[in-house]
Amino acid sequence: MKYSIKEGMLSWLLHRLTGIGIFVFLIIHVMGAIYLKIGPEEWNHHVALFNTPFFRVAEVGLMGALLWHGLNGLRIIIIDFSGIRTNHFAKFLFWIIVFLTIILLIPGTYLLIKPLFEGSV
Amino acid sequence: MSYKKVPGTFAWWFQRISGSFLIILIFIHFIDVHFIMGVENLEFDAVSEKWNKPIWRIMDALMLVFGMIHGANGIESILYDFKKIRKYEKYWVFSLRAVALVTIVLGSWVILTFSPSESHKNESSIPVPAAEEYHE
Repeated sequence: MKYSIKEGMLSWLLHRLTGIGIFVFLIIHVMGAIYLKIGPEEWNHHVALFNTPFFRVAEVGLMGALLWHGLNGLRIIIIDFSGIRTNHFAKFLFWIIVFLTIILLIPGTYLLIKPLFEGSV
Repeated sequence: MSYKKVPGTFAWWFQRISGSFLIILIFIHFIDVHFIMGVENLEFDAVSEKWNKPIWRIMDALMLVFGMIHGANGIESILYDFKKIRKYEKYWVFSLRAVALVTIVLGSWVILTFSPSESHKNESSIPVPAAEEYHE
């Protein structure tokens, strides 16, 4: 029981924090897309920013936030619609999504920051 | 509109339905942009080529609309949990929705009116003769 409450609180807090982060990112991301209407040169200058070490690392954070928020959202949907209301089930799903987030983040992180070590950024 | 208020309300259903769509849409978008195209290959011409196919524009527009409403809804439900913030509900609910609406309008405008011909805006004013004309 004690552990379920802890895990539930952690997933709840992370869901909100990642949600706020993704929302702020989305607004900036859409505003950046306006460069497409300003001109090709301006757009190319804008996207060159993403191919910098800072943004390469930031993308790992974005991917982690998206993975957690998406998988935890799926967990909430499964709990809501399965009708299984036990702490054991919620806790079981919690560890499944922790596992999935880490498993998907490892190759993702490698691919995102690989250019940093190849010296192409 | 807080999605946590009462299960079964419109906002509650919307968060779950839009969330399900967003998982699929953002999964495809992230893999395409970061792992297939690569962030170093996002130049104007690459975007033109991608948006040549209407399916990508439809997907991006769906992502924008679902994402902004899902996000604004989520932020609303977070802010409602703070008593002191809740007092000023009438101000921030309006502002939050206005920000979401403006972002949707601007983003849709880019997605729907983008034209690749803009990349040759400057060149088209000076007609360049075809190469073979020089040989004759």
